[in-house]
This record gives sequence, structure tokens and C-alpha cells, in this order.
Amino acid sequence: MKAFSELCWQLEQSSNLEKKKRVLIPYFNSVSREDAAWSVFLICGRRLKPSFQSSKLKNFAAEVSPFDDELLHESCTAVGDTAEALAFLIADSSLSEFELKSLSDWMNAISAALRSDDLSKQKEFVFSAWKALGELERLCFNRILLGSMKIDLSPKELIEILAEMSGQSAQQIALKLESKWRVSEEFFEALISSSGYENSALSYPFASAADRTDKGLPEDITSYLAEWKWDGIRAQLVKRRDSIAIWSGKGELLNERCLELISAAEELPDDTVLDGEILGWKDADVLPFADLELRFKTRKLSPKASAEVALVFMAFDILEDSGEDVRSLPLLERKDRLSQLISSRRKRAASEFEQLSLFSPCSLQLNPSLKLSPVFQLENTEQFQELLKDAEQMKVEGLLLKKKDSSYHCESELNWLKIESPGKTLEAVLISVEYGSGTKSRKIVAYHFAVWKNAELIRVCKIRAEDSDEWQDKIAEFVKSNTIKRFGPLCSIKPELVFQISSKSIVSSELQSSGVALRKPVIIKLLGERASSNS
Amino acid sequence: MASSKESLLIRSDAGLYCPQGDFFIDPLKPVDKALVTHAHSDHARSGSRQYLTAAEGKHVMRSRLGSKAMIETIAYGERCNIGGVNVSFHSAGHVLGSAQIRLEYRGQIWVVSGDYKTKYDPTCSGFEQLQAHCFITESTFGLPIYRWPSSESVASEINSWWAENQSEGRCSVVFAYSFGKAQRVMSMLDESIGPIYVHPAVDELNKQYIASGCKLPSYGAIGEKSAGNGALLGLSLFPKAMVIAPPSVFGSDWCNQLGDFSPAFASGWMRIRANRKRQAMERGFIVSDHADWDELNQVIQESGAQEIIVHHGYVGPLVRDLRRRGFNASSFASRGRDLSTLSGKSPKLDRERSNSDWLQEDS
Ligand SMILES: [Zn+2]
Ligand SMILES: [Zn+2]
Repeated sequence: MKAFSELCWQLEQSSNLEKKKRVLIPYFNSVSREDAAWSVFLICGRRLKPSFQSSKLKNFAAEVSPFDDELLHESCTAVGDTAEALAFLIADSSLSEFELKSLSDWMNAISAALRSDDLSKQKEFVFSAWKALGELERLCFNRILLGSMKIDLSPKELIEILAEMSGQSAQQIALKLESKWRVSEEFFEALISSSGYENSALSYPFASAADRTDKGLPEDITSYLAEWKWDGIRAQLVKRRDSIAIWSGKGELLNERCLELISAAEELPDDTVLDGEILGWKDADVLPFADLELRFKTRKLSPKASAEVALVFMAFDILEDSGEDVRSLPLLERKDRLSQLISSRRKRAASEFEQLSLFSPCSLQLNPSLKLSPVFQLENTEQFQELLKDAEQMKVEGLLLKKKDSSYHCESELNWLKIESPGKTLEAVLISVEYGSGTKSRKIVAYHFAVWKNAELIRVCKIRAEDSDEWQDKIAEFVKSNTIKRFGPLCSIKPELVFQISSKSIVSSELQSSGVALRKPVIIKLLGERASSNS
Repeated sequence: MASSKESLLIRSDAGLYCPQGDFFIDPLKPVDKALVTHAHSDHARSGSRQYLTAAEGKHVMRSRLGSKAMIETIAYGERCNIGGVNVSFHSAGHVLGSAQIRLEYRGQIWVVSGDYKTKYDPTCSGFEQLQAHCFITESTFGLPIYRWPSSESVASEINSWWAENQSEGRCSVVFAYSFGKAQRVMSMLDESIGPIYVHPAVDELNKQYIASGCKLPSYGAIGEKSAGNGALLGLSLFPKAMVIAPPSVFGSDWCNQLGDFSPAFASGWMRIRANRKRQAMERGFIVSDHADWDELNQVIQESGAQEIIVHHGYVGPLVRDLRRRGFNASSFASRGRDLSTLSGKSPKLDRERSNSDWLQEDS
């Protein structure tokens, strides 16, 4: 426990990944494998169950503390964190020797105490622990009890550090952490050993498209297939016999946040890898990206969020077909294989449905989460322009043109071209500016905009500030004399500076408080100062 | 009970007032006679006709109140008579020249603590424990969560952070209030690690400290534009240095000229993690020039006072806890009825300070 609480403290003092590395690697090398496994457990945000209510721990503290309930309560409020306040309020004694030493010992003992239904035993355990522990350790102990462990190391940073430490790729570590595991010596051993994961569910390098939006169409348009450029999260779905992984284009493992896609993928044949786009979906229609983002913002998914925003994997390519690497096959053939795969899956499900329907007509539904992105054969550029007009109605970003005979290749961008739909503009008023942190704390890093709706200001978007912005000085000057309130990095100002803003799309959304979702908004120009009115 | 005896101090809208001697202590508004505990801006305000302050703080008080102010000084422990009240100033250990003010009138002794601390600080005289019938104490950090680590442990934390930054070629910048905190932090630095620089505002106060006989490590001052344009190229121009600057310049052009640096904040509020996170600085060092919970209670206990008035900061919690332990404790707000003794004048009660004020104020 001492080493672990010292680790937490050191991580708190470490301002960048490099420093955290210098703290964490020696820690992992010095503690037992089992302690290391428990540390991973806590860093990943897992908790022992059940945990104490903070009121219960406060009541315990009231019994041993020299202060009255009210003072305890005021202290907790001032600190804003019960675990921390109580760690401060219990006097250091470190007199009694506790037989518990290692983190594993402590975790096992805490786990037993949490599960105990004997209140006086629980109390006795907590009191003697408080007596035996120093302040930093008490803080960790309290947080473990309350299930509120906070460590200044994100799972992503942990993955990176473990990858470097063990000579594996970050993706491999992420996969191992994603698989079901229990804290044990063997788990940590397997986590840092690079053998035994040859056939793991890693993604392939992603192919990307060159932007042709402003450069005109290629000459031989008939040698391309067109498809929608969906506005979601690009991802590869990897199905292996004993594991499924969904990787974002940035190499992040998304499984935790895509549970319905994982269960949909279970129906795929083993050793299948699909490329596609994760989309938010509701009532047979795609949702704006901002709604999807809302769902992805929270790490743990609430039932409400998954009901509001269902997920769909819109597949547009196949990279591995039942164990066969098909990336070098021409696009047309890959599209065939993909549609066969997804429609045969449909067919099988449908025939099962027919059989079962005799007994329980509603018991089987087609899994709607895996969809095939439609493909268009083009005869001429007019057809393309027609499609581009439809793009807006389809709520997609635009169109992709892909060479029919091209292989799936991440290096040759010219096989895939993207053409985005023209954006839309609106007038919005600047309501607040956001300052940076650290050495940038006097620098405006983002602008927040709102529109007037029924005499009410409704926030619509945030736009990052660029050094090249010509209106930067004007805004800074305006902020100086028109600040309403500064709260943390946010500074709200009088809503009088009006800008023209352009957005890839403006889509209505029930989830956004403004009722609309803007996609990739940019400032076009400053329209001027206008006293509060409708815009 | 206090109400049965005459109060030597009451709170008016211009601050603490002694009706017997007709003077104010740390007045909030311009008055005729002002006794000032120390030169922090929330205690020493300009505009009064006549000031009395402790001799140790005369230089800092002069630079705070301006060259025209009429300032008289008195040595710690020396007595004078103001309107029949026996007045003396005694070291409060808070910052250079800080004083507790002792009033004696017809056998009654009242002591106003001003801001104070009892922990060792080489940049000012140490706290003197006084005896009183009524002790008026500050309570800036009057909650039991506020307990300071020893100066030695904070000093070694600061110095090892400095050395670590140095090994990475980054400048270390500690943001600390120019008066008191900055000098205290400087006194903790290990000069053998590297050069020490300060912001002009700190330099200004340092000169007063040195003129008052305080020893500080040798340092240089960085002016507004002394670093030139190198910083624009992302170079760290002071890669080995420790720089002390007031928090208000964080993020300013002055800061940007330092190039790449690691920012840290020195304050008692850094005891709380959430406060450290909120500062947008890389480190928070717990350095306070106020008494922590244990110091407050010890001083109150040893004052032997029958009556305690809690004046500044977390008033409610300390009052309640003292009462629970059998002290006759109160706040000026709850002693409001005393104002009726002040005939002819009808000062209004100023409201108890709200919680949010405290975070900004640490002086
Ligand atoms: Zn003060
Ligand atoms: Zn002060």
C-alpha cells in the first residue's frame, strides 16, 4: 500500500507522459506481479464491489475523530472530496503495526471487509487501518473503499507505457486489457509477455482518401465506384474465434463503448475483418455526428444513452474473409464478398426466423447493427452531381470515389477520393471565450457561439482559435471591456459580436440543447457588433 | 460575559473600532487614526490621516501607503497611550513587520492578532504569544483539514523540483505573492542549485526586506523585455534558473519571455487537491503565512483569554468548535448588539465574508 500510494503521489506530480513513464516502469519492476496486477486494476478504473457510501465512511470517521459532525461535514465540503477530507482529519498515529503490507494483502482484506455484513467488524477494520496508515495511504485506502480511486494516469497512457516496457504494440496491450481478466500474477505476466498473441485481433493499417473537393472530378469517372462518405467514426471490426475488437482509425480500442456492435459481430464467421464507419442511429435514420459524440464522451455507457443513440456499423470494405487476406483483390471483388457476407448473414438469420416463427414469432429479430453501405455505378459526371445533391438529405458528408480495380492500400491515396458537399452558413453571436491552461492561460484557445431563438440565446458550437485568425485582436479587445463573468478557463462576454459561420452540415438534433448539430464549423468573417437582438 | 464588560473593540462599517481610544485597527475606509497590523493590501489601505505601525514594517508600509502618508512607527513591545488606552505592537510572525495589537484599558486586555503564524520563518520576527482577556483571532485556514507540512519538507520538495526541471533544461517558476510569500520561498531555496531571478514586483519588495535587515539569497531581476526575442523561437532562456513571480503575471508577456518553464503555485490553498488542479500549474507547494488549524488552537489556548472573537476567514466552524470545547467564542456578527454602546455614530455591520472570497485572498 505504501508503494502504491507513493506511486499515486508521484504520478500526481508528473506533468507529462515521459515523467509518468519514469515513475511507473520502476514501480512495476519493483513490486510483485500480483501487486502490479492490482495496480493495473485500479488504474483502469475498476473497483471492488460493493463499495461504501461516503456517508457510511463519514459516520465511521465521526466516531474516532475529535471533531463534531458539523465540522467533519464542513471540512468535506471545503475539500470537495470525502476520501481526501477524511484522510486529512484522521490524525497520524502509525503506531499500531498492521500485518497487512502489500497492495494485494490490502485489496483482499478490503474486499472481504466490503462484502462483510457485520458492521462492527467493518468498523474495526477501518479504524485499525486508519491507525496504521500514513496520510497518503489513508487517501488511497478511503478511495478504494468508496470506489472513487483517482489516478493521474489515463488507461491510454497506461497502455502506452506498458507497451514500451514490454516491447509490444499499444494495440496488443489494449486487446489484453479488454479481454476478460481477473487480478492474478498470471494476468500481469501475460500482459507484459510478448509471446502467445500471434493471431490476435489487431487491425490492419487504414486506407485513406485524398481530398478532391475543390479540385474537380477525375476524368474517367466510370472507372470508379461511388459511395456515401458517412459522418461517423471510422473503424475496423475484427472477428476472431475467441476475440472481437473494434479499432478506431486512431488505433483506439472502442469495444467498451460499442457493446451492441460486439454482439452483432459474434454472428460473423471467424477471422473476418471489416472496414466501415460507426454511426449513431435512431428510427431507421442516421444521427448527426454530434449526437454520436455525446454517446462516446462517457466512458461507461448508461442505458439511456444507448437507447437515445443506437450504434450501427456501416461496412464498406472487407480486408480478411474467413482467414483469407483479401486486401490485394480488386475493389469490385471485395465489394462482392462483403455483400455476400452480410446478406448471407441476413439470410441465415431470416431462415431461422421462419422456422422459429411457428413457435414464437417475436423471438428473433434481424440484428440491425451491421449494415452494408450502398454502392453506386456512375455513367457520367451528371449522375455524380445528382448524388452529391442527395448527400445532404442522406446526412452524409459527401461522396467517396474508389477505383474499381484498386487494392486496399494505405499508401496509395489516389485510389480513394473524397468530395464533400458544400457547407452552409449561419450568423452566430460570440458568447464566451475559453483560455488555455499552463503557459497558455492568457491565450484564447476557443470561441463559443450561440444563436438567438425565441429571444433566448442557445449555444450552438465551439470553434478552436487559430493563430492566423484575423479577428483575434478584435475579440481580445472586445473581451477586455465586455466581460460578464470569468469561470475557470471560460470567460463569458456580452453577446454582441456577430460572426458568419460555415458548417459542413446543419442537422436538427433532439439531443443537442440548441436543437441543431453543426459539423466542423469554421468562422468565415466578423459581421460586426450588434446590440442584443435576434440573429 | 463580554457584554457585561465594556468592549474595547467593535466592528463598524469602517472596520474594527476602539471607542475608548477613538482609533481604528486595519480600517476598511479612510479614518482619522489607523493602527495597522501589517502592510498586506487587505489590512493597510491608503487615505487615512494618521497611521501607527510596527517599526520593523516601516519600509514596506511606506511603499504600500505612498510617500505622502503620515506614518508613525513603534518598536515591538513598546507602549504608548492613545486616548487613555495603552497600546503596544507585538510580532505576529506573518510577514515582515506584521504585528498583533494589544490594548489595555482599565485592567482589561484585548489582543487583535492580525494575520499570524507561529512556524519558523527567517524573513520576519517570530510570533510572540500574548495573554489577554479577549483575543481576536484570524481564521483564514480555520478548518482541521488545514495542517501544514514542515518548512523543511516543503523546501526540499521545491529544491528537488527545481533540480529536476534543470536536468530537462526548463526554467522553474514559483508564483507567490510579492510581499511575504515570495521572500519566504526565496529563503527556502538552495542557492547552490542555480541562479535565482525575480519579477520586478518581487524585486521591489525584496529591496524593502533587505533595507529592513533581512537576509535573502542573491538574485537577479528580469525586466519586462530583458530576455529579447529568443523566447519566440521556443528556447528556454533561463534553463537553469528559479524564478519567483507574483501569480498575477502568469500567462503574461513577461512570463512568455522566459521561454519554456514549469509553473508552480505556492499557497496554503495548495493543501487541497482540487485547488492544485484548478490552478493550471504543474505543481502546488503548501507554503502559507497563516496559522494552520493546530497553530490557531494552540495560540488561542495559550492566550489564556476568557473570550475569543473569530474575525477573518472560516469564522463559523472555529467559533462552534471552540464553544463545543467550552470557550466563550463568538464572531463580531453575533456580537452585533455591542454597537448600541456606540452613541452618536451608527456604523452598519458589514456582512460575513462569503466563502468564495477566501480563495482569492491569502494575504
Ligand atoms: Zn489578511
Ligand atoms: Zn496578511
